[in-house]
Amino acid sequence: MVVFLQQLINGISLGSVYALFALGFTLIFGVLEIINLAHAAILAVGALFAYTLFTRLNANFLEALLGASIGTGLLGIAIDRIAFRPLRVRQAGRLSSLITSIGIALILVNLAQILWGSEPLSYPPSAVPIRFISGGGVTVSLLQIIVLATTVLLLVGLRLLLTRTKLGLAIRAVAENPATASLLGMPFDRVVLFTFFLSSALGGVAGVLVGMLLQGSVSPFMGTTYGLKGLAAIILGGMGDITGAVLGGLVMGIGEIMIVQYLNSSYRDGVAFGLLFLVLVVRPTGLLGQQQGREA
Amino acid sequence: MSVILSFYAAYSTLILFAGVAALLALSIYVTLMAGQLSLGNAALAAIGGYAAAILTRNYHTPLWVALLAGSGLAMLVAVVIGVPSLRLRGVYLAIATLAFGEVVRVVALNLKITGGALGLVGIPALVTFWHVYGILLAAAFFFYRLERSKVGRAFAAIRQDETAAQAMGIRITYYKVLAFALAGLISGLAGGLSVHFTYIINPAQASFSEAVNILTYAIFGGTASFFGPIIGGMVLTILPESLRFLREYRLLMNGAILVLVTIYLPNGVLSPRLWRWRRARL
Amino acid sequence: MLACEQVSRAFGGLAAVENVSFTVAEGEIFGLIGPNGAGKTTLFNIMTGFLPPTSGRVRFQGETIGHRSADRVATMGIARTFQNIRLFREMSALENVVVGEHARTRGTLLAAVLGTSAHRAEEARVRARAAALLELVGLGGRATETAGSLPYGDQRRLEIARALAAEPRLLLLDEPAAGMNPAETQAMMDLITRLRREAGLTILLIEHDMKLVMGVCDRIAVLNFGRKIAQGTPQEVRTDPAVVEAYLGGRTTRRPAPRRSEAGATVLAIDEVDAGYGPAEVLHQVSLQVREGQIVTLIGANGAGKTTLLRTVSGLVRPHRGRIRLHGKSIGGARPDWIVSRGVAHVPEGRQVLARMTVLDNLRAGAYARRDREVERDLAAMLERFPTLGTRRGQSAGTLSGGEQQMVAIARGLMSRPRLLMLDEPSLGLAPILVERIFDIIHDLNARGVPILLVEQNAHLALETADQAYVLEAGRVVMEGPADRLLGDASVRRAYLG
Repeated sequence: MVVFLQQLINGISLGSVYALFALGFTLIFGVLEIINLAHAAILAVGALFAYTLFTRLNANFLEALLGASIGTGLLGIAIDRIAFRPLRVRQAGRLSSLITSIGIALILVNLAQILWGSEPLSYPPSAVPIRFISGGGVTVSLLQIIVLATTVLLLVGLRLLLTRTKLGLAIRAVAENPATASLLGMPFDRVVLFTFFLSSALGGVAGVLVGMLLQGSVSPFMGTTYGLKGLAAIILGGMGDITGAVLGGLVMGIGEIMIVQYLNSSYRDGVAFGLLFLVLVVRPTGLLGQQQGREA
Repeated sequence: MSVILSFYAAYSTLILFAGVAALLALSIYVTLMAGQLSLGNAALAAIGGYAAAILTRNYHTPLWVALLAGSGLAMLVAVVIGVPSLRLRGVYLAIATLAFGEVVRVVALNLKITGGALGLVGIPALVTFWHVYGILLAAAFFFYRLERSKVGRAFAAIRQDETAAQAMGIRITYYKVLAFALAGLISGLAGGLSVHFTYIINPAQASFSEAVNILTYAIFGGTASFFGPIIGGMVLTILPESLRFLREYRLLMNGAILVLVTIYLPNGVLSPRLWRWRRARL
Repeated sequence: MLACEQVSRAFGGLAAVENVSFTVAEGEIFGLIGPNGAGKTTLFNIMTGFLPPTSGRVRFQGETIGHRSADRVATMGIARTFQNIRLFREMSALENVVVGEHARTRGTLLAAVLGTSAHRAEEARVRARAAALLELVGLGGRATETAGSLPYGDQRRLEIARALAAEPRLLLLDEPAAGMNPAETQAMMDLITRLRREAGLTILLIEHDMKLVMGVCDRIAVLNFGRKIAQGTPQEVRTDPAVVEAYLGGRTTRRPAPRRSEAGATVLAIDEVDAGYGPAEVLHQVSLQVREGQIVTLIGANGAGKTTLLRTVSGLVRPHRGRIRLHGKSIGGARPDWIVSRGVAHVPEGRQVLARMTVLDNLRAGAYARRDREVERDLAAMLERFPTLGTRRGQSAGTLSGGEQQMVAIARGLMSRPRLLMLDEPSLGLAPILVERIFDIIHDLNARGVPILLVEQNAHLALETADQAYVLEAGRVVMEGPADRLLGDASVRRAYLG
């Protein structure tokens, strides 16, 4: 029981990171109906940005987080301009966007390799709190609390943004029905720009949090598993649905920890993907997702 | 003559790899012909490779039997994942095949018979130039005929407009599964061939990044006709080797190719010439 | 040859087709007409196996079509064309037709690969036949051209050639003359009669172009709201009061609104505008004005281009020629969000509420383009003015009834404090009593000084409401004048019903 609780806590911790990552994914899907596989690379770049901020500029947690997220946010905007916008103009299919996003991911990873090397890095001890709180046989680290708190804050902030601000209204309207949104005077391009910024910033934050949670995990390649699992999370929870993304992320995180604990750990990745395949085949819209496509 | 032989001796593995890459590119091309993107072909090739390797290595079966078994198994698996995936459109299908690929990799990583993370070594060297290029030639010929047949037209119709294709009496289900089966067959062959001149196989060959490589071959060469993937596969295998100094930038090059070709050259590098050929055909 | 027996099809709770029965005899040219949303294409989809009926059945040459898939139905001898042309755009014209012969092409993949003489002979036969079919529809010289590059009229003909390739006994044509000018329409009419004569086909067609329908069909069935309301020869249908009412709308008991004697300054001026989508030119030299204080209505048959004109004004469609000016400033070709900020509010066809957002959010979205601080105050006032919306303010717009959604759409348009309100078919799909309420609101708005451009299929209602009217036919303005004068004019009826 104690073990279960402990692993539950660990699972929630991991799951909230997945959730943040999945959020970024699903935001773009909701607005543009494309799957941006470069998001995984953005996670890695975010973690690496933070690494530089920690080691070269002696930043603290908050500063590194802010810097990394703004950096990745801007990167996201650039990616849209370079890779996705030309395809939108040409009205190319969604497969083209998927392929281009893969290309961007490769480019980003290679660039990151050049800038930071291929070896896994760790954040300096000064940046990562190592206090623990124990009780009832269960241990929660300060770090896990910070991760959870950050996630919750961001989620609340995002929700407020989407429901209480004009921009959030525009994002939701464009995601719902771009033609009508245009009729109401909502600037499609600017909405897309902001969505990319937001999505990529969230991806960057997820990267920083992963880097903090797992020692020695920061590298240009760290995004790959998260990329595919994040994809699984949003498909599970339903593409384009924000609550679904969070739920999907949590389920993936908890599920993964539990599988490692109670089943053979080397199959852990396989289970995630097997689940993904099944969900796609049986119920492509996921648990909460919107109906597929605005096909005429 | 001896120049050619010594050239070949020095670069034989590379030349064989190029032929295998061309085959793999053709395997992704055949599903693209029917409008489906499969990112699981690396995994199918790995299945073919593992099966063939186990047979020749452990049971000393002749090469042809092993190849047949490997590609047959891959074809079967392709049909098994293809059928339920039929309802999935474009992007979702790509992801489903991606997921499948990862499952295969993890399974290979864990089974004893596949040798776990280290894979299998000591696979007999049974494959020569003529095996690979003979099969490639046969495949090219097959595609040449396919494109000019009722089946090839059905694929193209499904790709361009499924609804209209149905109204013409084309059974979508049957043709999509057929495309998948062919993809499995060709990937399995490619996998079976490659293990017999590299002498090893490991789970990484079924990974996503391998699948992406295969995609790049096809996109680069262009998907208007079977010739594109063949060129794409061969060029993208040989070129990076001859441009050794760019080794550090390999991923970047691949990525740039994907981005640039998708945006600016939707029909791949060979588009203008192929277009001329197509018009002349009628 | 074809019999529909009590065919019904519902989507969720909505009946798209209800108890429709009719028969098509062999060798007939049969027309299926009806206002927008009457269920015609749904019926086609049921007949060709793309959709199963919820009840009733369709029988072709005695056999029930039932739940057969579309590809099986195609092999039974039924072929069709599509409302929005579905050619294989990358293939040549000849190849398109060859694909059409798929069901009649013999041979296996193995034979193809081996290149047997049987295979080669079959390929030659199939190609020759395709070439002959292209000749039949008048596209003989265009065999090698890419389908996507053909002119619009030729694309429609190619679709017919492709449908013929399957050697059907029954040919279903879905709006074969859509987007065509009078000369092309005449050519299409000739082609259809020729097909019946030379190929011995039975033809069932959906069409909005009355000239074609009345000129070519032996018998016609009229659908409205999913039900068959009339059937008979063209002459019978044309004069059937139920049909006239379905197309032009019933006369209501309301007294006509008092006319404003002097019209104000020109708010919207459309001058000689040509516009369309891709290869199809929909609007030809359309000119129209809306003045301060006026309700101007644009009426016409379905497919005439009314919605396209509104979309051209609001910026979703770019005009190829001509000018559009709002209060003297040119807005033609500008971006939609800029046009909205200049005071144009477009309440689109089918309401298009943002379904998963609340009523409140929908209204707020309407005010997006505003920069002032009075939005919340207007919001409160709007909810008072439309009390039904007030009580449902927190509900998802998608869960409201049709009439309520129409109110949301109108209120949303009003939130932008528009200088011109454009309404596209506000009565569509609403029960008569709701329609009266909506039109009360429209009158009220106008009384408060908002100029309105009203597009309506219900001609009588529109003419009773408006000050000035324009009649659109095949993308051209064929009549204009004070609405009450047009109300009694028989030519309006002719424009609708041929």
